[in-house]
Amino acid sequence: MKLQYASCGKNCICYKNYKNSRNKKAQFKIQQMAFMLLAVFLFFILVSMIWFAIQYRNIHKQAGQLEEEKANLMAGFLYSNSEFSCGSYCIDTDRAMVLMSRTAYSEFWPVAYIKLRKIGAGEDIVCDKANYPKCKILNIYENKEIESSRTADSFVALCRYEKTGDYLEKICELGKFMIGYEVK
Amino acid sequence: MKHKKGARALSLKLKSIRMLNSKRSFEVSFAWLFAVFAGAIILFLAIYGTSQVIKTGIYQIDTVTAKQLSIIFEPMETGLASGKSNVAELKEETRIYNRCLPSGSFGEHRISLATKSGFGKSWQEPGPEGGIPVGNKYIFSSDVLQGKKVYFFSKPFQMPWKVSELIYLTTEEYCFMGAPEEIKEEIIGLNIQNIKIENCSDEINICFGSGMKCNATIRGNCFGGDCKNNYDSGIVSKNNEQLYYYGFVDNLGYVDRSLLYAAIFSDKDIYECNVKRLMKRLSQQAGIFSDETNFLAGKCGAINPGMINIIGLAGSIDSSGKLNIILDAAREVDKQNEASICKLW
Repeated sequence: MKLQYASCGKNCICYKNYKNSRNKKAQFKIQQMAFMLLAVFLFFILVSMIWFAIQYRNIHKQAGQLEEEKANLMAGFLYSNSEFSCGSYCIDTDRAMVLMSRTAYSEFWPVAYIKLRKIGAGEDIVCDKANYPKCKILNIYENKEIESSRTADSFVALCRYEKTGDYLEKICELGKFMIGYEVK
Repeated sequence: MKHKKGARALSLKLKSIRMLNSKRSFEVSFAWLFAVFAGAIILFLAIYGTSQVIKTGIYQIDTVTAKQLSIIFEPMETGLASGKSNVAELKEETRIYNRCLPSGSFGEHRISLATKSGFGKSWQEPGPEGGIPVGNKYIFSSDVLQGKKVYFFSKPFQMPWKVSELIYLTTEEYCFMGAPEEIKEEIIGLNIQNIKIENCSDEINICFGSGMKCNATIRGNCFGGDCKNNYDSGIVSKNNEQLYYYGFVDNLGYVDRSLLYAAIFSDKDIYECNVKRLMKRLSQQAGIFSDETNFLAGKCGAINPGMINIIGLAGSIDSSGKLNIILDAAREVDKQNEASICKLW
């Protein structure tokens, strides 16, 4: 370096020295720019992650609301299907007992569970063929894959044929038609 | 010599430096090149990202609307009513894709929606991919519906009990030309807004019998004691295709015309698929009624032997043309139920 300086005259530009200082400046600028670019990218990634998180939460909430809405409507209308119905706001519990054992319907109703519950005093005994009709809860359908669920329900008449002496009667009790829906 | 050569090279370099330093020259440094390149990439990524976000947003809206549409079908259950009608107004022109799959124990519908995107106003991919599954409804429509207003009405399908509600989806205006009085009364009673029975102009013309400029023609073939009208059963001809319908007449003389409307408003593939699905449901329900009859046998001796017949016949029907084979069996079962102490429906 000393030699190069020595070779430079009074009014002469030291070209190598000039080039070195320029290179250093350019390198510094490139480094600055690279850091800036990295910062810009990280900022965009952060913003998009926050945006996606908010969107995901909104979609999740909306899906939950739609499930709830659907379950409420189903609770109000599903009992009129022939699989349950014995007329206006009436559910045939004899048929519900038969329906409990039919596996084909497992893919038919898009709900977590369908239950019937008699309203009145007494223990919450789950119905089976042995204790029917002296029981309170009929588990018609249950989707065991759904772990967390809530209930939408409506009041209905739970009716069945009963033989008292020589007479055949249609006995109706107040009950609830309960639809379970998945909590998102 | 060496000094001379060196001096000449140095002077050339100096000349070039002077050129760079002159006001007329333009220096494109690496930093500039790098900034332009990186800027272009960032700009491209930003524009691409934004367009993707917009596309995803539209897809999300379509998916939510498809789900909402599937929820709207729930209140279309008629209960004891003879029908229900409703109108849904969408925010913008929408395409509704209805696919019917007859496989499985009951079959299902797949409903998806598509709207136009802001870029070039082209139709988006229908969302969600594969469609929203609707297994417990029977939706009769064309494969693709397009419009801002969706009209839907429902009617119960009886054979001999109410098997299910049939939901009819339409977006266009229809004119029923030469319809019999019973059908006119039914349409007025249900207040179906997009079906006219008089003063027609540019609507889709549905002709009962024959007529001018018919888009679909209905030929009634019900002649005999059980028929109230010769259109109680018949053939709907449209687009060089024939769809068969049969109306069950119950003990009170009520004629079920749900399949007539189904044949008018739906494409052949949707109609035939839903007929198969309805027969599957009928077969399952007949199985439940049969088991219930056995369950009640001790109490009321409510044996209904015709049910086994219904299960077999419903399982064998794979097209609308064969529907007539179940009518007699259904009438027989209806009579047995009417005579029974424990009525099942």
